[in-house]
Amino acid sequence: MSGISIRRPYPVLAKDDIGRIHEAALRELERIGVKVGTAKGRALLKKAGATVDERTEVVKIPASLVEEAIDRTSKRIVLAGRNPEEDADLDRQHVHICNDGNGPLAIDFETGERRLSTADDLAKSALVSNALDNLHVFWPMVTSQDEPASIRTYVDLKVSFMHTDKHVQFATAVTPENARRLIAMAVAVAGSGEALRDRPIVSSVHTSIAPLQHDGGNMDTAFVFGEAGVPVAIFTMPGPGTSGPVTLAGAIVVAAMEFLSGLTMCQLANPGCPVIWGTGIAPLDMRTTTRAGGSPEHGLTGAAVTQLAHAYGVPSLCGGFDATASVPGTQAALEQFASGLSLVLGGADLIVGTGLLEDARTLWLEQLFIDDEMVSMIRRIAEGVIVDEVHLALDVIEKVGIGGMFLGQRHTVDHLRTEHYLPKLVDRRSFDLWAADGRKTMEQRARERVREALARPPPHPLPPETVRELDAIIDAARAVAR
Amino acid sequence: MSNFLAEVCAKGFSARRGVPCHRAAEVNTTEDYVARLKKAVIEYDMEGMPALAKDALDHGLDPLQGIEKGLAAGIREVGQRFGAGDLFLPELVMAAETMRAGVAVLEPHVPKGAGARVTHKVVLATVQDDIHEIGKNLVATMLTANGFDVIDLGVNQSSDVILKKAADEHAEIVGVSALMTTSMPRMKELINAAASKGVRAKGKFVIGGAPVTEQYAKDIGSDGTAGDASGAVRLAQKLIGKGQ
Repeated sequence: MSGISIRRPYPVLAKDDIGRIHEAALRELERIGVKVGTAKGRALLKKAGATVDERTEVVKIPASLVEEAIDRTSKRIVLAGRNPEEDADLDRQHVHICNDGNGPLAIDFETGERRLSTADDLAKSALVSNALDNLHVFWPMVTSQDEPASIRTYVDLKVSFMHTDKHVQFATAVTPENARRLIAMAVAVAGSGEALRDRPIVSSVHTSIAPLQHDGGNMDTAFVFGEAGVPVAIFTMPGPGTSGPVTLAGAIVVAAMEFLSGLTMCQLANPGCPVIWGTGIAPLDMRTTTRAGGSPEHGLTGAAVTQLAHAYGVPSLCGGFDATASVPGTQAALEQFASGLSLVLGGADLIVGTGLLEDARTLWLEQLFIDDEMVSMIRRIAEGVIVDEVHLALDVIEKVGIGGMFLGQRHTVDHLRTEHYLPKLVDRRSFDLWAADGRKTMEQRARERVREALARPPPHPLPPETVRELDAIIDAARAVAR
Repeated sequence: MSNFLAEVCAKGFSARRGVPCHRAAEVNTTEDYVARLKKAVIEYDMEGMPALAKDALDHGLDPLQGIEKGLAAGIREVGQRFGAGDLFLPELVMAAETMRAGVAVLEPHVPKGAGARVTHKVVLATVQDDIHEIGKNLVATMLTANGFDVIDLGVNQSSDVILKKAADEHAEIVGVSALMTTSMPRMKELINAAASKGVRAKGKFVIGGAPVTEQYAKDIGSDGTAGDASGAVRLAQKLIGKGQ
């Protein structure tokens, strides 16, 4: 499935702004530097000409080294699906939507109870994701907490593979051992290491620690993925006013310093490996101390990072369509719209955030359908107004004439479905008809869609022998943990 | 035609009844034209309809059968698909226009008294002192597309004019609209006027417009209202005894 085509991205940064932020990031990487927790990373940087203080682990990186890494990084990343029709080609001209991931809580679809998430919740979230119009990459939405912590990451990947044929992106690999086992699982499904390198059906997200720190284990894990040709995202998330300057431009400079230093290390470790710039610059709400994932600033900074990333030739992965709201409804919709709009219009390559509320904490299956409708509407806005002979419709204006009616014109029928977004979940019936049909809320209508989606079988199920291979890898991990 | 039948026909007779074959072939063609007329409506072939209808007549199609089993059957199917949400208003209107083009050719050839077509007439108007008619026009379009014969008087029409037209046309339903709360009382005036002239029971009176509620419709003694044009079709069908 191709992503959402972007004809003309809406810029949030002026050209000069991009240059200023880039130059500032390069200058401060040379002057202030970043803390690098990985000994391997420090050694690579030192050998390449960076100044390393082994006591403080602070590395000061020359601008030329960063610019070499930008030149060297992979300029075309395709997040392959198990089913090639589901490939997400991050060609910097399409927006792709990815559901939110790793939530610890789920609303039980039958009882409505808010409880710890299970493997069954994860399976259900994948089945619902398969039924959406705008869902291109799958993050395991919740963690399988009914499994021991030592094997959860692997069970999450297995359950994801078993219930969706889309690309799976995960964010829970934090040790090289995690990476090796997850790669082994992906190889079992892809057929071989070469097949995985050729068509990476998984990718991995690695978070830097704001401000200006790279965790050792996290980066060492990223290197292992890079070696296997599995794309990684360096996810930068300084909180404006807490772990970054309160001003958005300043927070973006911190994010750029973290990404560029991470990118440099990755390119030194595995030249040409695919790296994505991940970002989630959401302020802390200064009244409640919760993270404001549904803030307008979250999407706005993601759009700015997308412009910078595209200037480097790398794709962006941006948090958006998030909400801190506790339940579906007006607040959730407002927050998601506010944090998602500028990302779609700005051409973010991959947007992560649909389906979980309480800022990426709690799974609501209904929310996936509501968010899908929201994305479709914004998609229409992104498509813009097409002005050409056919769309100007001068011949029809003349034909219908003064006081006439355009409804029965062939031009109307021919262009209706592409010019107008026809909602699937939004109910535009008048009050009387809506009331006569049971006065259903948006959430109730979404529930009906969830029920239909859950009844459908998973697409392209894994062969039983592949499932046995995955189980063997998980069993080995379980044995080591004991 | 099956190979077997073709062979038999080549010998000059149809297989079973011993009827000369050109006759059997003609029956076939007529059925074919009914199906093609229906298909043309479903595919909104406005441009091709007049020629197809003429062609059908030339080949001996009974025009009444063409209208009822072909055109009307087509519009019913389009209406069902519209109701199910698979088709949209412009498609419904186009199908209706296509049907109208076919009726225009076939109807003059229907023999007088040959079980004339039953049409349900609706007179529509926007009340006096009100010139807002977008909603009323949509209702007219939707009713027409659903087989009603709509006489639209336009805007700013007095009760007298509306009632006279309804009487002249033997309308089964009279529908009036108002957008402004200031012109709404004209609806009540119309119904009172109908009562005083003794014609209230001759037709069904329905009202519509943004400020109209079901309660208001009940209060002024009308036969109902609907929130939108789709609802208006259902209401009209109910009032003439079709649909629920």
